Amino acid sequence: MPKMTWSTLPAWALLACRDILRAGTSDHRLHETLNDALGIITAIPELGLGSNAAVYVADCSSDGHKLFHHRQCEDVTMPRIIDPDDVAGSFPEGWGRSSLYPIPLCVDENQPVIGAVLLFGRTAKRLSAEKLSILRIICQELGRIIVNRIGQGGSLMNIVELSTDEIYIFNPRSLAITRANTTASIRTGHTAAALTAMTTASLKVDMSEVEYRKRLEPLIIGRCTNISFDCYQRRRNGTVYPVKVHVWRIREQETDLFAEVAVAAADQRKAFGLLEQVFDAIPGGIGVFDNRSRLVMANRRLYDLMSIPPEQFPPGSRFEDILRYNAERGEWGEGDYEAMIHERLEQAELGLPYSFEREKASGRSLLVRSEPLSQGGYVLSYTDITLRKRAERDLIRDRDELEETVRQRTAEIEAQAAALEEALTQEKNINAMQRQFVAMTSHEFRTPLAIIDGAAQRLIRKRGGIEPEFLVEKTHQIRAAVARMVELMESFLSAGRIDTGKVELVLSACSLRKLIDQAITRQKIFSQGHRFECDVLDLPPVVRCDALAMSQVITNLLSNAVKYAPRAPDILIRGWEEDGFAVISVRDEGVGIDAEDIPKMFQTYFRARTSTGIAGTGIGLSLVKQVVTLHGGDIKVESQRGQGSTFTFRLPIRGPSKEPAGMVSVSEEASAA
Amino acid sequence: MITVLCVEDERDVRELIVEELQDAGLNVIEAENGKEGLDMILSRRPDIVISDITMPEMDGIAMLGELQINHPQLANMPFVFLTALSDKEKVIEGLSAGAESYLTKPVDFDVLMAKINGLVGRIENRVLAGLEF
Repeated sequence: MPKMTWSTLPAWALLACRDILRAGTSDHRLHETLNDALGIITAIPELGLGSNAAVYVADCSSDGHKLFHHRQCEDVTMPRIIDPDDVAGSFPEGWGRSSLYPIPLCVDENQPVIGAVLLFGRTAKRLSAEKLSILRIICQELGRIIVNRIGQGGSLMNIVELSTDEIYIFNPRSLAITRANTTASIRTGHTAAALTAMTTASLKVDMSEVEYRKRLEPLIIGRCTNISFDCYQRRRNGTVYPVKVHVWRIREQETDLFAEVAVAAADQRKAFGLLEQVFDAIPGGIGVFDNRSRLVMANRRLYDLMSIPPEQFPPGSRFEDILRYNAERGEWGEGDYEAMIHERLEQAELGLPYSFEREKASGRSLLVRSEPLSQGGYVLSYTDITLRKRAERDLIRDRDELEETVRQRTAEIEAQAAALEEALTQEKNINAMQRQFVAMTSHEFRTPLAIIDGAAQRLIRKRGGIEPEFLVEKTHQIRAAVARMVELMESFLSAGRIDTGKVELVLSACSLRKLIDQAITRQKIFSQGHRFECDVLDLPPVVRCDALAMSQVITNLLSNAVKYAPRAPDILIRGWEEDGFAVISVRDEGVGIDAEDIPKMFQTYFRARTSTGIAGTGIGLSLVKQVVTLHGGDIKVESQRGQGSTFTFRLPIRGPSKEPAGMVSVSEEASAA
Repeated sequence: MITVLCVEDERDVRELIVEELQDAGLNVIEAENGKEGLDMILSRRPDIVISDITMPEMDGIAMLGELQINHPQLANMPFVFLTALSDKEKVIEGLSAGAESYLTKPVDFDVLMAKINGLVGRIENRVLAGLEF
């Protein structure tokens, strides 16, 4: 195979060499230049490498890490090449020699190898020996560029660039970042320009600027050449990752500068990532706060439960601001927000465990718990207890409803029992009244019977020489007694008819005055000791009513007045007209009625206490009331014990306005009674 | 002569009894109700009392009770109830009150007079025996 030289290179190879040299003179940083060069090499159509090539550079500034440039896998760390001259022999077993074809990077064959262009898979085998040696010459150009760049005055920056750790060059006084490498941009998510507008302290999550400065102090006063500590850094998107930080004192162009190298230890990162996953897997919200009440770490659920936007409150946010955000949105109700926030913060920073429940404006219930951390700070956990609360409320409501139902049922049963008892009492009263009625009825019939029988016996005894006067007198007694019995019977029959609803009122235009006069005349026969004063001239001349029934009503009231006033002879009957009604009152000055008996006066069989010793059935007044009611009128009594009684009833002059339902049928009589 | 007090609120009934007693040759005095009757017993000291029960002011049983409680010296006076109250309870009540006899209306005058005559005989025998007066 002829050894290739510049003079024997084909035109396309020369063009590629020229392009690579041009890239080398651009103001791109080294890793960008490597990328540009790789692009040029893989784009040579005559070689047909496609994307199966990479540039691999030994990084002497770092400990065991190499830079590996490949279109598809940027920033892949690789083991150190133990023998830079034996590139192929330096790869670990797993990489598989057969699939990798390294072309050493060097200025010329006599110079040390600084890296390699790697061909993957079968790519190298497809190339002819000629093309491979052309590729070696092209790669020498790349090697020259690298050596040139590293050898230049700006070599520091190239070393910085090549590092797979974050490197920040910053001013120890202002902490302002003057330079940050690509790895820093990749890790933090900030652009290089953005980083140079920040301070190293501002990237730290768990320490303030003051604390950071304190850490740097030994370095500033020259007590040591480097310091290192563990801390957390915040990405642009708010997430946090742990780093081990090394700070060195460097000098550049007479300026005192510090270099910070932030190493993201793989184990720590893995552990932290695991912790983050565990955090997110917890159903409750968890937030870790440092000893100055700043959020160190939180899971997604915490943002959800606290109703705060994650982008507004990334790690590093002050708890106070989170509280204020919620207070101002009315989650805590009305009140002095600042005072409440202050109180809440004091509670949180007391370093004691506590818990409380809170109902949010949305109706969600939260259980808030705080546990202090041994190195200061605390862990807040938020549990959604809405369902439990709802279940509790439902349970309480169910219990209250049950109690209410039981109470209602008890009340119903008690009411039923009371009603039953009342019905029983009423039944007993009615039974008692009926017994009394039977006794009185028997008495009422026996008295006229005794008169009839006695008169008859007397007639028989005197049969020998009866004088006409004696005969007349006895006959008169017999007839009066018979009349009394007939009257008694009639009232029973009427009561029975009304009770069974078979009364037929025969309405006609009647003169009440005439009915009253007739009744007084009849009454006088039986009660010669009483005086009847009658004042009925103001009554309307005619009233539509049942003459017979009304006559019975008046007779009944008159005989009562006589019966219950045995010692008071004066009975006053008055009649007048009032609002379309004829009103009649009967007043006696007899025994009167107890106030509590008055409401029962018109009940069938009822007899007032003042009636003791006076014969009566308890039917009369109830009959009177029913007849008056059938006529569309009403009746009342005014009385006091020992002060006599006044019974007053009213009848509509035009008769009953309508037929009382189901009680009575009204028939008209053409002629007046 | 034996005096009989007739206490009865029904005028016609009273009249018939009084006539019957007078025909039997007895001295009869009358009262319309229990209160009047009690006054008359205290003032006239009759030998026998015939009384109705159902009467205004004071009924017959109350009158007998009053007599026995407040005037024990007159408690032995023969008392005959003549009433239209025929139920058993009332008969028991009347006899328990201390009545000599309980007759119901309408009464057979022969029965009434037999009772009165029996009482008259007893009273006359006691007088003869010097037990009274």
